Amino acid sequence: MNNEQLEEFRKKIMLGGGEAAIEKQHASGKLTARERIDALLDKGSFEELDQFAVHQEHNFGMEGKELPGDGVVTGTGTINGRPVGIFAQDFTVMGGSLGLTHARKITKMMDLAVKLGMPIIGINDSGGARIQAGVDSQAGYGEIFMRNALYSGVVPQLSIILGPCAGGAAYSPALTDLVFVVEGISKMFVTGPNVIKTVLGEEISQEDLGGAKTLAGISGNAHFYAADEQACFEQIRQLLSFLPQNNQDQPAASAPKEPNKLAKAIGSIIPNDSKRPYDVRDIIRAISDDSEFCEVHEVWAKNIVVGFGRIDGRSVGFVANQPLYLAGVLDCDASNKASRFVMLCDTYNIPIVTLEDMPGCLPGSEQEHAGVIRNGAKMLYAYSVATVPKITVILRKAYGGGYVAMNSKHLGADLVYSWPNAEIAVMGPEAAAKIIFKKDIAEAADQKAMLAEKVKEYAETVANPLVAAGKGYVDAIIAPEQTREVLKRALKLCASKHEDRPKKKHGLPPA
Amino acid sequence: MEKEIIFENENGSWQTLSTQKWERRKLYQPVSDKEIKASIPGKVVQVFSAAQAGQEVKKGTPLLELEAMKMVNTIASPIDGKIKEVCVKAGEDVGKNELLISFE
Repeated sequence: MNNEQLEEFRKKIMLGGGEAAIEKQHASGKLTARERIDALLDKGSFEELDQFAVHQEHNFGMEGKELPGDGVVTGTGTINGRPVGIFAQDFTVMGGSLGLTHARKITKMMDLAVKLGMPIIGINDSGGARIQAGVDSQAGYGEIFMRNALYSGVVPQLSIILGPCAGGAAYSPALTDLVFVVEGISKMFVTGPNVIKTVLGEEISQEDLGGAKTLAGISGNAHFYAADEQACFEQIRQLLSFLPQNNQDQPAASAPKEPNKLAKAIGSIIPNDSKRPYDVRDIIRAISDDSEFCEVHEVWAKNIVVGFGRIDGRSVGFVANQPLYLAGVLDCDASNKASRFVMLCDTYNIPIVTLEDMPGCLPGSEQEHAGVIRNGAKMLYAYSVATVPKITVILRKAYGGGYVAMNSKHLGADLVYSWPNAEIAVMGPEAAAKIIFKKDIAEAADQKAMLAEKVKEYAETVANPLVAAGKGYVDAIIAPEQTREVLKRALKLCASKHEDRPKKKHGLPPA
Repeated sequence: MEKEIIFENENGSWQTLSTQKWERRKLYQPVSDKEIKASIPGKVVQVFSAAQAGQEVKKGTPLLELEAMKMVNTIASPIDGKIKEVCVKAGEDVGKNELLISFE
């Protein structure tokens, strides 16, 4: 084959399923696989692998059929100048269906990425298993799943859902670290609306069942939601700037910046009435460099806020109760969200800053039956086993089991600070007074006045930071305005932290 | 709660246990922005004057206050619309997902 013939052949492969199919892809509001790679990676950085790979199916009319790249484009490139491994399924080639070569191109790239210690990014846009490939297609999925699991915690794995990702295919993204979805384009479910209608008689649209809003807001399958593909790629570039290349690496440091002047004054955010809510993200923005906050799971389990920012140029993971939603209680979804995030930070050597305003756990049969015990236990587990620097600031409420769960000293927090108005106690003053002073209140002439008096007494003697500080459970009481400076020093101090755990195969986190 | 059921067809019959999940299944209901439901169990502490049947309200108008878990949450109108019914009074306890206010 001479050079001219090779280039001719290459050109044909680069067109994927051909011009008509590309037009169709564009008409449905989607970029092609190659356009997506070019838009996401640094310009001109993409190095393709296995461009000339051929499919391995022979039956059902597949013999002699040409499938450029076997429906997937794989290779390496850079984002913000740092190398990544990437694959993008090509919907224009037989619906991006997965045959053996398609799968082996993906696993080969993954193996290379892990050997070289760089993040893996998958762009999913596929009709699913290639039926003609038979069990080879299942084999292909299985080989990808196994690598997703084995490489979990070795290099960051990101999944972008830019088209259908149904049936077994949905499980690969679920095994990766973070999932990105785009409005109107992402569709992810195990069984589609037709099957659901046949089996259950239930009518539901694709969008309501597994569209971007559902994935990001209801099921929590997706961590990031964007209005269009470009916005999604921006999110990925931003997110990767907080992560290291692999688990042996440290996150890249950047030049320290003061919080934005437009950020709210930190001392003015929490209302005087402790029963009034506020947006805890205002506090994060008043602490973080340049007031930057890259929120993970922004629209799911909003009663807890998690995400990345920087303090003094170093990446940190923030975990904060959000009084604006459900009073900031810890429920099943919030526990799942926060514990997974704590594990993510621990895996990738990112210190955790916990901002606590925790009224307790949500009472009710719904939560108990949904397993609030085993789900809440995930928080205790994740914080306890994490060995990265763990720093807590108690902003306001720290009640009950929630106080213990939010990275308390008792779970191994390195440093715990409290703001002066914090309420740290086993339960709320009113509920506590009703139990402790049951007799006094029952026997009082004016029961209401007696209750009010006892509530006040309890709040003054117990629900404050001095009791916990007196026992060493709180290391220091600091003014809100000092918080950023204190955290800067604390993180610097903790940079040399090293903690070993007893040797074991692996623990058994609650499920 | 399980009960025995027997399946029969031309190939024979089978006996199995049913968990009654089918009987108790809840069909999907699209979320309506014409209803405000309690997102958390709590107590209605105040119903604002704008919250009256027949009243036209703008999106963001405070309608009532719900106290739960040591927090008073102001519930605002999710839409521009006309209130059909206010289903709660100040002082009432409400359960999770209980209908508070409906719109026409």
